[in-house]
Amino acid sequence: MTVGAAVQVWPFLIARGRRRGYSVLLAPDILVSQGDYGFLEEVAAPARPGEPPRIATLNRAGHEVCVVWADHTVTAADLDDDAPNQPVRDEHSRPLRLIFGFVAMDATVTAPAEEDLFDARAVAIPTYNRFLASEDSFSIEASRSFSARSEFGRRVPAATPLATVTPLSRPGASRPTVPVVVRHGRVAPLVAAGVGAVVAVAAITVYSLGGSPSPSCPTLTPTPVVSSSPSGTHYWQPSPSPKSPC
Amino acid sequence: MAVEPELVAERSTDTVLSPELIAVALIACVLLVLYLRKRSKSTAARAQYQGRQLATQVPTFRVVTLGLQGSGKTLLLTSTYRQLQTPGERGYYLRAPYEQLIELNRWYKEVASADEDWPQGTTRGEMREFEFDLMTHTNTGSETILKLGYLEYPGELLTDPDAPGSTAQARLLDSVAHADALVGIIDGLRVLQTQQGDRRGSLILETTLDAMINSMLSARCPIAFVITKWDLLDELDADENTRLDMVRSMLMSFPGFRDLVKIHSDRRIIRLIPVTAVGHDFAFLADGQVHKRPTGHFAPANVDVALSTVVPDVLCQIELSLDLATRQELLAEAQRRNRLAPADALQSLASFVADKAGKALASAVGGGLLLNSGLALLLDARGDEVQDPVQAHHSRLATLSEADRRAEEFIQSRRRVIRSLQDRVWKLEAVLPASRLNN
Repeated sequence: MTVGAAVQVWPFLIARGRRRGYSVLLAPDILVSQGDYGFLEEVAAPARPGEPPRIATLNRAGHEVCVVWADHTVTAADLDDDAPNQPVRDEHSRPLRLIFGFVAMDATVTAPAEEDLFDARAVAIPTYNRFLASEDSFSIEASRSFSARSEFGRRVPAATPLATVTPLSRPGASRPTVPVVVRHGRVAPLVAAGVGAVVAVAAITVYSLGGSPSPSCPTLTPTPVVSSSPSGTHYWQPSPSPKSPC
Repeated sequence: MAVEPELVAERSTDTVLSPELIAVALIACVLLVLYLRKRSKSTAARAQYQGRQLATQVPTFRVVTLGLQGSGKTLLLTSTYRQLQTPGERGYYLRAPYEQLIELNRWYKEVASADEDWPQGTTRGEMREFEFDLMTHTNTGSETILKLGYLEYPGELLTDPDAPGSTAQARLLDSVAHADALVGIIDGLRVLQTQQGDRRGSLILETTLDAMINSMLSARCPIAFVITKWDLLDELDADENTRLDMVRSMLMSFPGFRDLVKIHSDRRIIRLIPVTAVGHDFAFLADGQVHKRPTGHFAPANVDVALSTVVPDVLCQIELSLDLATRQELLAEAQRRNRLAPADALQSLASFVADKAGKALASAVGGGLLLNSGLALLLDARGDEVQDPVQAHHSRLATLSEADRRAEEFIQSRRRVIRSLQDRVWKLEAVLPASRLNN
């Protein structure tokens, strides 16, 4: 685990206007220049009330991308004074919501710092106000990086996909007509018989040759992990003590 | 360390010829023989099992709604589940996976509580398919009759270009292309604005209809239209059918919509279903915003009709798409199945789908739906017309074995559910004749 004084992160913002639907309004400049920022919308599902900030890691073009986000219901205090009479709702009477956060490249956030989210929001709010002022003609803004204070875990090889956005079940996809357990049942007795025979032979041989007891297990040190939910979203939590393999 | 030669020889002999090793080898051989014998027996049993699974597998109907952002797709989903989560007088009900149930209940609380805001709208990150089991009670317990897939997505995907790197729009279009039924969602607020001469409301309504036309014009699956926020249109006229007729006339004045209805009318009845997901006494419109009444009564109306329309319609469309010869063949198969014991009848489907009629059926609906179980459902529905179902049911029960009895119960349950769904639509049409878009 390292404290990310030297790690750079980029703010982003996904929001809906009074008339326009959800879209990415602010994205890291490196993603904007590469034309690859739409995935942020698919990853950053809004958190449920009371939930902590969410973390997701995924692989984009060989790079590990870590996305940290929270959401915020827009209040009158967030809006510029030049629109004081406008309701803080969309034209369908729904509250306006900001999904904001930051993106780290080739580094995994294990404990996001509140200050980083605060800084990201501070950049996002002016962008949102510019968007509200001209929803139809607004085009995405590119964010610049800042030095993060969050905690980062060890780097994972970029080629290893850590998580992917859970795809929708494909319409029309067929289901297996034969339960998988049937196929398992076909090989299980053979494997059991074979393993049993090998173990017995090995035990007898060792016993016959006067083998020594097996060495004791090494002590395993618990390490923090990032657990994966079905949606590919991760919540940091300490791992339970690993069980002894012996 | 030196080892004496005699000792090595003695140990080696003991290891190779020990009784324990011989016993282990014998056990392994016996297990292998037992396994091979069991495998040869189970091959036939597995084939039989596969045939039965093939025939009794529950079909999945995938319904995709086509509605712009804010048109009420999520509220419709929430209220539909809320209304259909218990059987009531219908004889069927919906069951959702627990994780989705929690989400639906959360939305319901947001919608139904006068103290809370309206739900915040669906994002691309929340796009997913809800899968419901359509259940019914039989003498032997609860049975899943159908599975219903319902895609939840942000409406802007229908009108806004996808950002680079996003796949959401492609997934939506793929879902639309593979849908078993399409339900067009027309925002009642836009209808009201159009009636009131609001230019922007009219333009958005036109955009809504354009999005539907684009997706539905070439679709072969059943389609239906739903007007959401029907409660906001109460002010148009006191009589509900007159109101609906006004809206119907207005929608048919759009040439594209009129053409869409005309083209689909050759194959099916097109319905316009007025729906309120909250009820007529729950919300009101003021200053362009919809507010909840502090003492409003949450009472959704007609939210179940869209499903009741499209599910039986799938079966009707399958039959209409067949040529006469294939239909006769299908009828003969239904008659033959009614003469068979139910368990045998279910198994006979596996061979039927492989022959000409089965293939014709499968191609007629573009595959997907009609795979095996969809065909079972269709043949069950056709069986009603071949023979009096009540008489047939009782005569069969007298002679059925327990396995057959259970299969018979399942088939009869499916028929009851289909009839119940159809009844719901006919009742609506009796009250609101204007709900039929084509004559």
